[in-house]
Amino acid sequence: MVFKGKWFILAVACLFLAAIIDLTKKYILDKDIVKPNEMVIYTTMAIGFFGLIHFFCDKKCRSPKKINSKLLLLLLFLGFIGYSFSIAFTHAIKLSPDVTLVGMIVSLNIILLYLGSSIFFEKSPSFNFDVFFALILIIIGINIISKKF
Amino acid sequence: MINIYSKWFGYSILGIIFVCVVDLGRKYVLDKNMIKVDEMIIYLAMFAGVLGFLHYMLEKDCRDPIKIPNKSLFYIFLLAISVYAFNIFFTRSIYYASDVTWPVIMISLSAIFIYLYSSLYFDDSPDFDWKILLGVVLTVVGLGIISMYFKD
Repeated sequence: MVFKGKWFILAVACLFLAAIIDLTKKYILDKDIVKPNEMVIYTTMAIGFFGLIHFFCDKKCRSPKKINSKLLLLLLFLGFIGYSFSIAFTHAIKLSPDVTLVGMIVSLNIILLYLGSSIFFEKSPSFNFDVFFALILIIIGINIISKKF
Repeated sequence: MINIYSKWFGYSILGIIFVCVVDLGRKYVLDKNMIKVDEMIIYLAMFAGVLGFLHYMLEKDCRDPIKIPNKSLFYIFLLAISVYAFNIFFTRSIYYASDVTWPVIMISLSAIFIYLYSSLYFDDSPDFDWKILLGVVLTVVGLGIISMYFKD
């Protein structure tokens, strides 16, 4: 059984946080309180501010000068992609009839993640064809949901 | 049926690609021990903040914070705290897990909570339907079976 250990407890915390984040975003957007782009902009600026506070509070965090420039570039790239995700995701939940639909579609990333990590990552388990049965279940589940909307 | 030509679906597909790149990229960097977990959280957040600021300068339709109601700004502030907490927990989780897929499978379970809450409490969302819940449960069972095939 793989569901144990520190990562599991942290992932369960993420589960609830993800639900809070998605529901809050949908609530705010449904009420037309702010525009999707404004939400992305102000949320990320606040996150950047929190990151800055975290930087000053964490004495073990190395200065950017002491970090490999290639790694910083890679982090910048990840930050850019993460920002792009935030824009796409916020617009998707604004336009969709229900926030669940977007969450379900985006959860299909597990298939790509599994393929990517099992094929390219040395430390990850190798690819297994048996998982296709489970993938079929996932697709059936998604179809049931989509037909009802 | 879901209209695959609708805008939200297109944005969701883009979301899939972006989230895969981010999750795999994070796991790759952490597996190689190139950076500590907290350093990754801090620098990614600061880069996101810079990108947000650039977006603010370039987006002409974005209102000034003074013109946005305090209540809305407070909601956004709470949202940012949740996202930052999520980043801390998620980055640590993928660091400790042998495969990046495990934590993502767990987080996908949030779809159940999101569905229940939005259908019960959100006016604009469709009413609660047992068949939709069945679809969500099947999806989650599928995810669970996948996880059972992995050996940690």
